Amino acid sequence: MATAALTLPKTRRRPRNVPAAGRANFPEFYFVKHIDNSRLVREVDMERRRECFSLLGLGVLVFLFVLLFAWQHFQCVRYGYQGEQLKDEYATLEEQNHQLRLEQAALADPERIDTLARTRLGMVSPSPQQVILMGGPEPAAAALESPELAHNFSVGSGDTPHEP
Amino acid sequence: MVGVLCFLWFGCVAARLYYFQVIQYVELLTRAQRQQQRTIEVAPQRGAIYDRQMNPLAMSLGVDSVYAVPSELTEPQMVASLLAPVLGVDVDDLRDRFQTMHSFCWVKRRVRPEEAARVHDLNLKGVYFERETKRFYPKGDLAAQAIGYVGLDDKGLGGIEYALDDQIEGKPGRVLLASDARRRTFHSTEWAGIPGKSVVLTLDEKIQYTAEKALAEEVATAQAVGGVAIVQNPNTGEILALANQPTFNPNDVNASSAAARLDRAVGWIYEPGSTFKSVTLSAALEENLTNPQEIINCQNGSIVLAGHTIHDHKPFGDLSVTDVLANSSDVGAIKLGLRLGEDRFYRYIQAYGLGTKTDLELPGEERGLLRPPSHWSGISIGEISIGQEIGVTPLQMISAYSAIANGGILFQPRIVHDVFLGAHHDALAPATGRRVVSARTAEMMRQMLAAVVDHGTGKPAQLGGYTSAGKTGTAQKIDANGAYSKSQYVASFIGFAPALRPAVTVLVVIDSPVGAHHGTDVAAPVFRSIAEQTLSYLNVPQDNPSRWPQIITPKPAKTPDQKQEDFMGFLPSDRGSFGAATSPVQPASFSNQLSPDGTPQPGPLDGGVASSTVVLGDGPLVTVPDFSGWAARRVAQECEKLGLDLNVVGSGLAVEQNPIAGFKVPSGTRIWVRMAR
Repeated sequence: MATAALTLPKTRRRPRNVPAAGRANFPEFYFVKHIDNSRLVREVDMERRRECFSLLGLGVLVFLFVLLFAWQHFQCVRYGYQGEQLKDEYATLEEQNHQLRLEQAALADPERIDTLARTRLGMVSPSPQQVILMGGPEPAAAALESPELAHNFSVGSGDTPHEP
Repeated sequence: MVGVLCFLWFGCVAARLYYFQVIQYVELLTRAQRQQQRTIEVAPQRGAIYDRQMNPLAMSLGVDSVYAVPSELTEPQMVASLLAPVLGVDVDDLRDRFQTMHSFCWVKRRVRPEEAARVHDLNLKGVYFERETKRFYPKGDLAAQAIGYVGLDDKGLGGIEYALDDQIEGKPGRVLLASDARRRTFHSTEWAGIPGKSVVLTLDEKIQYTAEKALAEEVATAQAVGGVAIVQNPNTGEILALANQPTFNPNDVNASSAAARLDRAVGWIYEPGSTFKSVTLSAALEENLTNPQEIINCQNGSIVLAGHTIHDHKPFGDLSVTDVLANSSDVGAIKLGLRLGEDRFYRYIQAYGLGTKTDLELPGEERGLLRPPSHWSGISIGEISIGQEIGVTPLQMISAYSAIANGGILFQPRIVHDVFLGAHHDALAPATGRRVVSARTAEMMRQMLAAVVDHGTGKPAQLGGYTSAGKTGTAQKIDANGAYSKSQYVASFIGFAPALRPAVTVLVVIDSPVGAHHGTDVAAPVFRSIAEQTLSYLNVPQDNPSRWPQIITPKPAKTPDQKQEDFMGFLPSDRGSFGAATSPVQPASFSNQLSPDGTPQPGPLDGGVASSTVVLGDGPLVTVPDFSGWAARRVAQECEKLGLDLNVVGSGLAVEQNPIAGFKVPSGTRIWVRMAR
């Protein structure tokens, strides 16, 4: 359906906003043409779709990668804290160990043990006839090596007062 | 429009990012690292010092030191007044330091844990802690001069701490710390330092304590200026104990005097007096100029030398050489010195290591005073023969006596047994020695020195259960005028035990005793105390039961329980020595009654001896046979015949026994015999 507009020939120029004489209120009609293309089916562009999904997949991958990187980074920081905490704990325990060894050494002070033995337990030093050796020299004496060593010792080339 | 705004926003962000991440990258990174990271130097752990049984004598522990950054203190006056009472420092001094310093000042170094906790509780801004190490000496003043001490900066200043400082100290490490805004460390990188090496000394803390205790008691009793006692293994030269009086506590070295810190064993020169006669006589014996039986005319106790008359402490007539030593005759010793002649005598003195450093691993060692013969006066050879006009250190003298004890070899004394770091042990030079006199001469000297203890001036040095040998010495000190003092003496005794097979050599020197001043009275009893306890502790077999006090426990009828004890190695009569082989300190007594569970019941705790365990022995004595080379069966048969108990160790033929052959022992005595193939 066509739409037509009635127009008069221009006789003389008049201002655009001033209606023509005698036709000042003549209506103008507009007609709308409805086009129904609902039955049309758009052809799918597989190439574009592939590109779209590829782009989307790449975006997801990048996002996951960033997420993984961030997760690793924060895990690294977290384990760093844990590691430092464990190091501190280790150092503390080692320090405690040293303290305990020091305390043990102080408690084993011969003077302290001697005093305790004599004052609290009423012990006295044994007289010579009370000392009986059980099975010969013990480790303490063995540590001093045999007196035979000196006799068998190969003499060094030091000074000697012997005259030829 | 929105799109344009978004585009602009993204553009700005991107531009800013580019600016920060590319253009400003280096500068910002540097600033961030400066804020987050700090490098601290980690002081190395100073190596520990142990005795020969690996008992710690010196250890280092981490402790806090408190410091302040004065520029961060908002109210320095108040902070000073809060810290001063907690840490025990002067408040005015602290306030001055806060005002004069800007970026750093120590408040107190190496504070006690409770002090650190209290400062921590104050939560003061600008006050921080620094971790440092502090040296501790758990045994207090035990072997203080030998171990030494460290200064505030952990550097060794005395003893082994100083001598081996390079090895004990270690090298510092570094740690790079990355911290967050709360100063919590989330990452650290370490450049490990080298920890200090640990040192094992030849000292034995039990023997050391025994020596220190006996010496301290005598120095106190004699009101002496000081004293020194050394115990040495004559067969290796190892020092087992090195005791000094006065002494100090290395944990509080600032409270000690220089005299207390002096190691008299190596840093003190004294005139040895009569103990030096062993050098004179051994040299004469070695040169075949005399023999132990030769009779020397002691000229009724006086001799004139270069116009000077030297007197004996009492007049002697004819004395054998053995008795010259036993009675400590100056005249006899001078005559033998004169036979040697100056040059030959000087060579022997040098050969014994006198006048030269022993090179023991301790600082401050003196070489002594020994002039060459060209500088001797006419009387010098006589004076030196009796131990005057010569200066020696105690260490030199004990080494010389050890040479006599071990058969004639002078070992270099040693106090460092091992230096190690983890499983790595430094290779130390083996014991070195040189022969000074022949084994025959040394044997003669041992017998002569045994005679000194047996019937001479050294009687107070007789040991219970052991033979001993040694020599007393009493030397006049030089007074302020350079003349020999009539009131100040150095009393000494040097000896070894057992006399025939010496296991230890012991030196005791007492400086300026008041009242009794002879070595016989002052030093010999200390020798006895130290030697007896040391030999028992070392489980050295007794070789002289005849010197036991004549109190012998009877041998009661055996009960089943007691038989069980026999099986375990305890004699029924040994109840008083239950466990004697493992500890130098023993219960006072045990009654003969056993508790229901079979354990011995302790006797009264008043230190007395339970009367039920002691009776006088009146039975016949049995002479111990010589079992050398005998088979076990034959030994057992002989012991059975003589009524002796037997304890056989090993298999094969008898190679060692205790008591040794020839000693008379009561019937029932247990004989220990070691068999070997």
